[in-house]
Amino acid sequence: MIERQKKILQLLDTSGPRLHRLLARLTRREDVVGDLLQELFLRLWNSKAFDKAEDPFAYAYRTAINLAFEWRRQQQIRNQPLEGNCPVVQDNSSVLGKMVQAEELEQILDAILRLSDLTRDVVVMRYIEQASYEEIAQRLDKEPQYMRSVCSKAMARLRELLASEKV
Amino acid sequence: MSKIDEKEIKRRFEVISRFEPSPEVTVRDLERARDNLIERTTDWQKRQQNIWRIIMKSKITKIAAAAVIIVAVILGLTITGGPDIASVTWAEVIEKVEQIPALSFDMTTEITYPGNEKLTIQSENYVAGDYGTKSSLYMNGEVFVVKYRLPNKNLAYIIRPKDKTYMCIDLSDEQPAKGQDTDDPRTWLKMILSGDYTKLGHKTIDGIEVEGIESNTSGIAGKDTIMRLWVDIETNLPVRIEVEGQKMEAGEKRPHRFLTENFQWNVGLDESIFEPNIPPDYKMKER
Repeated sequence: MIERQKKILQLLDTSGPRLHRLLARLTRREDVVGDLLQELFLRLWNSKAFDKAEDPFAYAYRTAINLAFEWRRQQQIRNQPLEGNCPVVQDNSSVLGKMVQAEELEQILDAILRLSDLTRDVVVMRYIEQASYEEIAQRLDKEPQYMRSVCSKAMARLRELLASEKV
Repeated sequence: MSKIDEKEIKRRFEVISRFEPSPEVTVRDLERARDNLIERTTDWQKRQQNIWRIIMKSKITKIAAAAVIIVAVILGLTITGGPDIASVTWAEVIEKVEQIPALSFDMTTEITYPGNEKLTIQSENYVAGDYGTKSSLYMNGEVFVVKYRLPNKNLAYIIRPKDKTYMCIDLSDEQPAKGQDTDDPRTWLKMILSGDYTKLGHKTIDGIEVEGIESNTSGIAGKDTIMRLWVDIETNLPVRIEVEGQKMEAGEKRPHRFLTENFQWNVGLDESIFEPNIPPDYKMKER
């Protein structure tokens, strides 16, 4: 087995579950995550930048975010709640309530699509993956303070986007 | 619809961040990604081999390639001093297991997820030089994948009983089909014994007195993999192989642990074990 093949398979073994979970959260569709995961690793295999990446996981993570939002762009999902595989969703009222909540989650994920690449990556790491500013800064090779500032501006932009969507 | 303020946005993010795909789906998708990656990258290697064949057809490039190989071999031998297997007894272990035509063993794979959640996959494995390999993978006591590698037929099968699907893979020209691959624990033995290792002394496993060695190498579980080999002091045959990887990723260590045990060396394996016997209602998935 050649070294490069081994490197990518090792990444799949060690980080695959985490990347899979990230894709699941960003697409909210368990039925498409498998295909996206395959696509992700084929992209890494074909990427020269991946070979040069100092932190292969960080590179794969950003590629996964791009891939998930590319998919969202193509799909523009609306009103497709998870098919009984989101047990933590706190909605015990009605079918309508679930639909509203699903719509709200889709709305915010679609709003992230309209942020710049860096801001989108930071928002996903901070708010969806619950990473600390220090960890995000380390992964993106930036200062933690700058990450904090990006998040603050992103939040303001998201408020704007969501408010305008409501009108 | 809720009022859109920062608190509401964070609440929605929180809901999204709490979603965890089911372990079954995760394992299934990871397995498929792995199969797909191996298939594609093996195709790529075949293409590279074809390029090499084209190079070797030209007289000038053939001479140049030969010169490069000779220089590389001379430099390699000068720098490394060649392979060094420290102990004759340990060297005999490889010699002995390589003469064994068939074996079976169990393997437990444990992956630690964020939040210290653990995923455990168990497998029953059969290896026979005449027929190939068979692995049945279990999770929560239920078989979810059965793999066959049949070098003599140049075929491999991946069967998923739960989905009632299977894949058939052509192994023609694939290198692992011709010899041992990573499914065969003898490949691991070679990895452990081909480098530096430390002796762990004696202990008893399942009533058998064993002697162990430990090797720290870049192995199947990432950088700084620790591999331990425990060998029966009477038979010189392995009793247990432990592999532990602690790969650093984005500031976190993600542990993988493989425990290979219950070896049956030189066991009689009937050819029928390696017969996929796919039920007629299973659908074949296209590659």
